[in-house]
Amino acid sequence: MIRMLFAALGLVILEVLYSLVGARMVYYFVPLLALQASALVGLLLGPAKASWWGALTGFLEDVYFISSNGAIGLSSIVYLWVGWVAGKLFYERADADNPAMGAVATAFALALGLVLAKILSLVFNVALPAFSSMLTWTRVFSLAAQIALGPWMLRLMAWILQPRNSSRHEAFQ
Amino acid sequence: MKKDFTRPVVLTVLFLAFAGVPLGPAVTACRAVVYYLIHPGAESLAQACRYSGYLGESWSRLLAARAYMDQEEVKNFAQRLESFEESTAQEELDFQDSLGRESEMAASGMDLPRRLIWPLRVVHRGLGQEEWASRICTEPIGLSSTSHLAVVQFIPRLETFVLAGRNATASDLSSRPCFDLVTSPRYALSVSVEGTGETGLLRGLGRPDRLSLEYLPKESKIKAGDRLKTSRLSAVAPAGILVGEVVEVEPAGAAQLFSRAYVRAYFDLARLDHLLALGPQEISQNK
Repeated sequence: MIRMLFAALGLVILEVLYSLVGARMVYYFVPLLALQASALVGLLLGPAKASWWGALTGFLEDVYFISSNGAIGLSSIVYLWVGWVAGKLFYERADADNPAMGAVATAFALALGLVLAKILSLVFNVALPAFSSMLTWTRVFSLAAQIALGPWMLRLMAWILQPRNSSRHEAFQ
Repeated sequence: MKKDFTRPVVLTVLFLAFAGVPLGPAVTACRAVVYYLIHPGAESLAQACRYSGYLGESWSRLLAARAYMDQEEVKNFAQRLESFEESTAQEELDFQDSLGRESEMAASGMDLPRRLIWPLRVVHRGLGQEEWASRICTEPIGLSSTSHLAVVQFIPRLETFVLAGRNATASDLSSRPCFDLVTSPRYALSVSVEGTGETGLLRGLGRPDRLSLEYLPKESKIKAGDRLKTSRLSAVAPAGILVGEVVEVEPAGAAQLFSRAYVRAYFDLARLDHLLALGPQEISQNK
């Protein structure tokens, strides 16, 4: 639980810091990073925990990035469903020692997340800045880079989320 | 499987309901307040926090600058005050010199008969359209209120003293002496026309540019430009002091016994800052 909270807060803080230096680029990259992270959480911890994690992360993100015409909760819906579906499909099929599935999970999460976000933005008639439909070269490069780096992102998330054996732990065994 | 599916659906419904609540304006307003409290110019909360570290230093610099400006202001004020005091002292010296010179001129008998003379500084003028040309008050004189004083003013243009007025009735000379000017409706004196020698009664009208000269003989030869002097009949002012000049003559009608003229006083209302008071003849003789 502590690791999940740490990961959620860390991701949102990372998005905030990125928004401070990336200016408008935040609208292209930050939500894509969150989608990838949601999928990897589902892959590592299962659909139940991934849905909670996605809901919390989306909520924090909405609260921070909300504009006067925005809504709180839509990002949570996107992330929790991406995490849940990714958990259902990829849970226990990959780990840090076999991370190739991270790229597939990332590609799946990005596709599902963008479609979901587009539907929600149309239904609620709000400009979800995170999910612009413009397919710019920057965006294409960002998506490709994320998918290519998926295995390493999976290792990173596993390092963050999964307990590791420590010397202190061994001393108690 | 069913339980797993229920949880995201319930969460989705809850978030959909929550998203329907228009919280955007409220959240952005609260966020703007927080930003402004931390740093007025910040565009985001993190930026505001980053800037807040500089606030203490900025305040200390601002206060130091303010203290420096206050010190400079105090210095400038002290300098201005000093120069103002110097100029005031110089003005006072010039004023005393002027009073002294005029007193010496009057005492030397150049224009005035031998009388006791007091230089007076005017401290108050009557207020109001009529009172402005009727009443002045000066610094106290060590005399009883029953004394009769005439006040004269030196006119550089004429190079002589002219009558300005007399002390007002019931005016205490020892506390706050006040004088009625010749233009005051409360003042009347007998004057003689220079040249013809005719005598008339000069009354103030409360106007700075016009006095009334009455009881002139019906066949008087007085004309505009004639100068008026105090006559020997005056109880207060010594005889022979210039008072004014005739500006208009109003001939007597068939049913009138006297003719009338209008006079402009010589004394300068615009420069009534100091005067000379002339004591009664008796005091002068006793002296």
